[in-house]
Amino acid sequence: MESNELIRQYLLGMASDEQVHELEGRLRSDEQLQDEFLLQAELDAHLRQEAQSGFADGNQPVADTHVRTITPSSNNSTRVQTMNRVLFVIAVVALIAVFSQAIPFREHKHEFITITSLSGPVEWTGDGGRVTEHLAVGARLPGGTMELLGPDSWINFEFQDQSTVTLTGLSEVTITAQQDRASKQQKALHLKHGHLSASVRPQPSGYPMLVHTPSAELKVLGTQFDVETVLEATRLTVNEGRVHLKRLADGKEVDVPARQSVTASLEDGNGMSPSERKTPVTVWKSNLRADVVRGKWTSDLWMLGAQLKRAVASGEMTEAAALIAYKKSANFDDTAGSVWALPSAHGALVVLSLRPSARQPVLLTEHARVRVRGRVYSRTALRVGLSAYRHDGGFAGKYSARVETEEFTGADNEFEIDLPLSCFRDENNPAGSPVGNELVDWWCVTETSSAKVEITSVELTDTPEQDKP
Amino acid sequence: MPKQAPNFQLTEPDFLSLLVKHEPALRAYARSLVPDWDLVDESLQEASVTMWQKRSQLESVDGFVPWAIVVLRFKCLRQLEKLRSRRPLLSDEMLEKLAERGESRSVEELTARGRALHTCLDQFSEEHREILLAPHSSTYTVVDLAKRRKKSPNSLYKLLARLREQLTDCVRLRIAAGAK
Repeated sequence: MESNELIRQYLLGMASDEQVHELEGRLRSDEQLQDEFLLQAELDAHLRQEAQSGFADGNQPVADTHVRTITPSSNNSTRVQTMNRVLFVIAVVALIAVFSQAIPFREHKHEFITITSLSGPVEWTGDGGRVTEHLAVGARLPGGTMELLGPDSWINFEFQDQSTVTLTGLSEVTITAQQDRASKQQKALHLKHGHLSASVRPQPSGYPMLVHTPSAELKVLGTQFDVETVLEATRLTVNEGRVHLKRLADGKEVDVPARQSVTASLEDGNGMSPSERKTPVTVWKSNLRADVVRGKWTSDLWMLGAQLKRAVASGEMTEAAALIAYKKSANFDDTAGSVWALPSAHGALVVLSLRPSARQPVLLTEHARVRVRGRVYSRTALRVGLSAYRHDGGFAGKYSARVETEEFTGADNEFEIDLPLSCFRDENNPAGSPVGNELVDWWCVTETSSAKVEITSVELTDTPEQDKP
Repeated sequence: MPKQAPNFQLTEPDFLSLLVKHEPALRAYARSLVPDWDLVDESLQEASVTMWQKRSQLESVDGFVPWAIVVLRFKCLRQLEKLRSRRPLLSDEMLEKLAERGESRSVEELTARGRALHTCLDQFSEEHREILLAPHSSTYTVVDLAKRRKKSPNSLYKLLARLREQLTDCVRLRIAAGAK
């Protein structure tokens, strides 16, 4: 069959398995045919519109009557198509209206936050425990809990006084506001985990905004700051103004001024002096054990133990031989290992935060490349992503690159991918670039949640192409 | 938050006007990925709602089509997941390749081809136009047409293929002439 006929059969949904396979083979090796495919699809779209225009002005279908229904007059055709487009827009406007109305808390009398932008899966649990994933821009909400479910999720919301908060990545926050008799409102954010960045307008005297994390309590009178809380530690960076921080482990308090940061840990009870913002670096190498936020850390020694146990169980080795092999490899350095992706609703996932291993901010430059090594045990494509913050504070964007199944062809399931920064795109801002911003976390997610992926190393390099060996 | 260009705000009438203007181009792009008209319509509707929600990200009117196409691409790929269980489709890799190629085509080219098609279509007899449009009509099929014209569906399909070739050639010639 001719290629054009194959394309038409395909576009009409009439192609068999063999024909689709044949078409795929021909398209793969022929860019001209790919253009032909696009042209035929385009012609199809115009013909469809032309065919549909017979009904937009109330005419009978062509087949039912001998009356001329598809007029050759281009004026009339244009008029009918315009009407079709108007109908399309009316449908969209109606959808937008329905979508906005679908927010269940619209009529709630204590709504005090408004969503101003969002991306990716976000779950909202409102008063009475009602749960929805259908949040939309413009939705007004009362107190409740917001949970970001994807590594590339982010949401921005605004309080009535125009203070704004951005949550990014896998974060969860409960938002409350209490109003006294004098109508003065005190806002409180309970950040259970994740990243939060806020720009807070001056708050009423005696009513600072409170940010509670598992390891610290922050009092904010009016400022711009970023907070990250991971397990037992909270990192606060103040970009403008001043934030008062209290470490929950021992009640120690400190005022953090602009351009300084401090880490409050439940484990480390030592000094808690704010430090000046350091000069950024342009390279970074993960310390997987320390950096992992989502994923299962496994030391090489543990893996060896598991392998030897299996060998003993299957009779391939005696227990004595396995013990000798284990003791030979055993050492006190348990930092060598890997992180296994954990299943989530959006694919198997690994998230690393730069906070534990990067002692200085990590700047993303034009020549930056992301090198990832690991092992993949299922046939799956991978999306590798970066979260970036502006150097003067605040969320800049989520950027990701797709790595196709074919890239994973190494021996013993091993892979190494080296992606230039130019491969990374922001789905919501295709023209945007991460260059000039600071890297705060790295993630990778597979297409299916059952995929098995092990990450052994992640690093950011900064070598211009011509300088590479 | 991603930094936005100052002084650019897309009002509701602006947004709708852009959507009306570029809807044919967006529909053509969706069609190249999704070989099912119902799902093309669904993709477009879903994409329109998402575009509306995220309209604040748009930095200029000129950036509308490339931005809209990226939103639409994701919606189309999601619809393809539904379709894959019902009929054989090109591989994800090939569809991604076609999507990227489609994204690189300019709005002006798309508009010019649309115009050429309408001029070419007007050159066909009413009878032939009816056959050309039959596969895209939601109320009658090529088989219905064959019955009405007392012809075999097979002969009508062959005629349809020839007419489609003629139409494609006409569009190509017009575009080439326009380019000269």
